[in-house]
Amino acid sequence: MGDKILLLAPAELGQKLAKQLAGWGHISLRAMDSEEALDLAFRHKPAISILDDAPPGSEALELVRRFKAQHPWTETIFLTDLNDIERGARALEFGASDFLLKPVSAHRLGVALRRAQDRLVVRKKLAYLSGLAPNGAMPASLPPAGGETSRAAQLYDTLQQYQQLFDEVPCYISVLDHHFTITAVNRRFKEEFGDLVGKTCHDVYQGRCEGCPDCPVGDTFVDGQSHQYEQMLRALDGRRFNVLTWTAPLRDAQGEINQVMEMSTDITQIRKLQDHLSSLGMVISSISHGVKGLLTALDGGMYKMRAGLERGDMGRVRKGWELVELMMKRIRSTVLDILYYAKERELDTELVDVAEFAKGVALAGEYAADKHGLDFKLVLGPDLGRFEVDPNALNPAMTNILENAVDACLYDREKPRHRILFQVSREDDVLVFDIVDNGKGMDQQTLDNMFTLFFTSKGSAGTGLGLFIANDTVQQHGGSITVDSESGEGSHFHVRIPEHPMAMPWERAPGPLTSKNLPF
Amino acid sequence: MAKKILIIEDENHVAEYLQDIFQDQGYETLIAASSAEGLEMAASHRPDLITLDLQMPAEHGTRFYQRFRKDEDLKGIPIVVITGQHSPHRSINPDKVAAMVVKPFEPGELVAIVQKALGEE
Repeated sequence: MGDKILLLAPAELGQKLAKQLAGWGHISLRAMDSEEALDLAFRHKPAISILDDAPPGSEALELVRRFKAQHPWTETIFLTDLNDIERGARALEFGASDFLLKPVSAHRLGVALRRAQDRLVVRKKLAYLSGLAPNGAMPASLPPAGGETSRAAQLYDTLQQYQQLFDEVPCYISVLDHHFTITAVNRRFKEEFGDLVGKTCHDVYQGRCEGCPDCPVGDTFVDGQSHQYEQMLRALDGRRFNVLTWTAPLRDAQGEINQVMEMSTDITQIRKLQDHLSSLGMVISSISHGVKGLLTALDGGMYKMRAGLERGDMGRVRKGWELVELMMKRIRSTVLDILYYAKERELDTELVDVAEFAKGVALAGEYAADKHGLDFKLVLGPDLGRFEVDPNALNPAMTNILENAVDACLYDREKPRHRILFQVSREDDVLVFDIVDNGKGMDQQTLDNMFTLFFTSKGSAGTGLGLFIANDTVQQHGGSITVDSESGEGSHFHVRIPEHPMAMPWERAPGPLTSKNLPF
Repeated sequence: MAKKILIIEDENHVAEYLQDIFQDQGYETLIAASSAEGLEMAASHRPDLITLDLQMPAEHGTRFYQRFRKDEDLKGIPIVVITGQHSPHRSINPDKVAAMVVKPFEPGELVAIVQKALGEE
């Protein structure tokens, strides 16, 4: 079988050479210009390339240099004019392995090809014997040569195939010796975690100076069995991978285990899904008591209504209906919270008029305040403009904070009059929402835990999801919530949202507004 | 004379519901919002039956149950445990209570259970 030979030469010469090569059983890959030559070489990995110095004085020498840089394993023969030997010599300096003077006779072309084939075989053999086979440089099939060199070359080809397998298998593979030093990694491993050859695994993976207890690699060295474990790896770009790793023994010629291979599969997505499902399960079981309480109270309202209807007692009907309404409202918000939590949502942002948005949020607060006889005031600062938010996520989050302010006022039995201030202002490219109430206030424990999942200070009237979700939403927008509160005095929620949803690297403590100096 | 039922329940809407059900059957009712209050009222009012909610945030209903069982004067009063959990609590012996009722419940069922515990079938 012949070789694949890349041919870059003007039409007439190219045709002549191709015919000659075909006659010897080789396959010609013909390129019309430098770029095509590089492209063909990249795709077909020819054993030999013949590059013509045409037109004279062109960038042909530069092509030789680029070509050899990209394809060091391809033998390159340069063709130059009879009266330009000097240029042929330059081509050798640039990496060509031979040059021929034009016009090229069939005899001299044959000699040059044979010399190129010999060099190829010798280089492959050398590479095999020294174990320095280059990655990703897969020469085409071997030139016809006999005896020892041919077998060595075949061995080399086999080695190359295994190297390719090693590199391309969709796992991260590393090989460790007795000292837990990494002796080889595959291409995929190198891409994500860097070339860690020469480092110890416990240093790289766990940041430890000594070996880990219960090391599965150590176990494999001892028992020769495959072991399985899960670990967290940090990629070069900082991403964390959950991987499931299998170990396997590698033996030397005497059958002794001299190295252990670790093969890791990326299970990050599966873990994420599992975590999400199990936290969802936790949410559901933790609120199940609350939900059953709500349903029982709803039953109570319906019982009252039915009994009132049966006896014509409208007072009882009304009381029953109020209870049903209250419970339905709570069940509704609980269900919506769960649905929100169940779905890992991405922000769906749009440009929103800040004043309109604030008025929309304030409506809920005004309604509740009105119902319970609280003072509610909305204060809009100048030049609020627009901001880029997901209104379907941020509106319920802000409403939740306002409703908490209403509840805080309702729980407080000390003060004769309760007030809630909702103030919106702009500080350059940050929108600031201040929600201040003079309600019950919070003790330190509540302050510390208010954004914790399932934490509630409202007994069975709360699920511990509302503020958790509000905080989560604000953070998703690149914003922050800070809270200032004093038990018995009131609370001040200070929400900062950047004009465009992005990371806000700083936080600021609540401003001079406090629940004690409400400006109305 | 109407029999007295003590309702130990921290959630006032549920307590009111139980009160409605029992009063409609002609029972007299008392409401305690915590285990401690429940013990006090049980001692002072000597109810004919007690309903006990287990999940109360301040003090779990099992605390009431444990102290109640040790009280020679009170331990004869039948207790109906009302719980949100299907599996009974480990510290409660189902044989020592009149009945376990799981929330949410049917009012008719609860009345039948209470009547049976009071020996009124």
